Amino acid sequence: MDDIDFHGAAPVPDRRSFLKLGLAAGTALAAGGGMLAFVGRDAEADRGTVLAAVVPAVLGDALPSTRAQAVARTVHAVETAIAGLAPAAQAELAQLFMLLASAPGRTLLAGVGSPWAQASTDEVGAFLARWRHHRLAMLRSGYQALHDLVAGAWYAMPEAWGPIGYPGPPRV
Amino acid sequence: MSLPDPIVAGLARGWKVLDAAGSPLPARIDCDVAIVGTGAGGGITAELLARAGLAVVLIEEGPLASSRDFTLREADAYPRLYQESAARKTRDKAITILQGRCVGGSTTVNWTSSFRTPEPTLEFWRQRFGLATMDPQALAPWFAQAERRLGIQPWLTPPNENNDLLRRGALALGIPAAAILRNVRGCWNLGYCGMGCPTNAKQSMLVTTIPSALDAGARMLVRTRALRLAFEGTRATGVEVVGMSPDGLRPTGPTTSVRARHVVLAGGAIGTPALLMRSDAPDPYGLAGKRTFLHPTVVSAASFVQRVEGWAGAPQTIYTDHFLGVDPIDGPIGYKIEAPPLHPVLTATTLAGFGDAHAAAMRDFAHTHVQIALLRDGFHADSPGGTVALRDDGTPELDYPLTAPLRDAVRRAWRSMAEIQFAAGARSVQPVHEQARPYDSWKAAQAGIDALPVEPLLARIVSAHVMGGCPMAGDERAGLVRADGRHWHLDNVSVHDGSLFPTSIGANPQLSIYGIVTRMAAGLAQQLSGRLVDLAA
Repeated sequence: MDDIDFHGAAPVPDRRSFLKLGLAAGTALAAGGGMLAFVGRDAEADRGTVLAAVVPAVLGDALPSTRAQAVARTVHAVETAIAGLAPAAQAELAQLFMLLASAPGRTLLAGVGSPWAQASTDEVGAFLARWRHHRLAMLRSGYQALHDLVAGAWYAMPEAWGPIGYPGPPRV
Repeated sequence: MSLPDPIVAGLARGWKVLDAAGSPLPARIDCDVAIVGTGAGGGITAELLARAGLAVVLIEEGPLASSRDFTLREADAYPRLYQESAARKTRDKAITILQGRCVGGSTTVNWTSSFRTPEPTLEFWRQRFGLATMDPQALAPWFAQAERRLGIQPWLTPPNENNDLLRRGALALGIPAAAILRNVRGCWNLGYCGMGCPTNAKQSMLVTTIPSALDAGARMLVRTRALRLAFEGTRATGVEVVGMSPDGLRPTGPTTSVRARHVVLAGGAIGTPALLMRSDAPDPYGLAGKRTFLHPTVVSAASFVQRVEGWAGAPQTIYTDHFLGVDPIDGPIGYKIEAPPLHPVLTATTLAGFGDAHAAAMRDFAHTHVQIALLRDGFHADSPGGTVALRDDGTPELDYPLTAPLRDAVRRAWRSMAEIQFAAGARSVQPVHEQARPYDSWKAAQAGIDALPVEPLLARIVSAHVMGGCPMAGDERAGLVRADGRHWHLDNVSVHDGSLFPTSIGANPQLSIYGIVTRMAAGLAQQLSGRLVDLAA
């Protein structure tokens, strides 16, 4: 899947309808009491659900043909990386994943119609592209968090190194 | 692994090091001087004060890791040795900050670039901040002493291809470029400085001043967080500390008081102002944590026909300061250009895009050459830097707005780097911005770059140099500490780290900290002990 191609002086394109929906959803969630919207949610399950869909979209054809196992290893590596982050960053990421996993967050903010487990890679890629270029800096930061976590986790693993021509660290 | 590990050997000799994540801290510790932080400033200070016979206690939030632990894998190094797993961000998440958090601080993981404080920077400090003693001639012997101590010398090995491309491109354009001095002895030219030197060649604080201080009887508390200073009137009575959980993330257990005649703050330019703020230290002019500078750094990636292998060989051995000299120092913001090390995680997280396009960029990893431009912030009137604030849990967070002069410099820096990269023979150049694409000619790159909106979280901005926030000045209204590092409003507190700087440096700051702090710490040692001391030979 290709992400949106921007050339020359084209302004950041707004998906106007999406933006309106996004703001509406954000406002609704905020009006609902912020974290109240997350009451009863399982943060770890939410994170796993979202990551399982996001990992293939971020990594594209960097993933080997045995995709499912590689995705699972990457999800696990992302979880390990998150566990090493500062508590404040962990709390923010937990909010991001719970928001994305909730039906209003997924449909209104992320613009993904299908449940994450059924969403196609193209559908998830379209969500990433929207957030990547979004007018709201907060959503761009959400995209970058997903990008950095997933790309960082995958390319940290020795199995990712051969295809990019990296021999791994020297033995000392 | 058979290389000698000076930390393992020192511990076997009986160094007094207590890991608070493994054993409880005693209820009270007494000493002459408590030093918070073990990086460039804390390390230098510890050696000098310990050699003066003072009873020193070092307080370090990170772990004591050493060469036998340095696996050269990013997945191990970043969580273990860096602040916030090398993912520390500004408040809006637009700038990623690389800072060490381990014994030796950032010196354990830096890329060895060593520059004396540039003369125009010192001149600005003398003129604008009343710092008459910040004079190149007056500082020269202190820089020389630090250079001798840390093996800072010209690096005579030929640059790796990633750096040589910067040299060749600049040469083709008639732009002066030169070699960077490095703090190494017997360097193997591996290229993994950022993950901790596996051969102990890098003369970081971890293998130089800290061992020397510990050999002289200093005590060190590791995985121990300094929570706040305690005061009686205008005197600090000591530092309240707490052990960290084994994962290093959360304070745990009871607090302990490190009681000291004098307290030196060297926790870095985010940590030191935060400690003062948590302590409600006097700050009548509201200076703590303000004017925090980053050398905001933008990135340009280029693809070459030949292999570049930016992971191999010493990082950052060539630089050009051409673009620092184009305009007056307080005019349009200038920048230093260097060539960083390339490793898979740092590269993959920095390169923009996702999916097949990102995967294709990574398949070109071995052919990728990267330049970075470090913006000299803090000199232009509209470059006031950032502000450190405390989160609810007491940890610090930096807010750093991207003001107009910085945005202007970002675009010029992308252009400069692209032009050099094409002059070096690049087949394509892509500034790291979410809307950029690989441009296949200098002409296309110019048009493309001119059209990119310089916005946070579209332009990729990073920082490895945090400076300011507890500035020195000749006047208490302009600075929190005096030119000798002593706090303007507290009798027995000094600041000895990068937070001293009233602007950014305009060069990689480690040698600025070493040299300036050597002078401060030698003075402090004399005041407290009556003895004249030098850094070890």
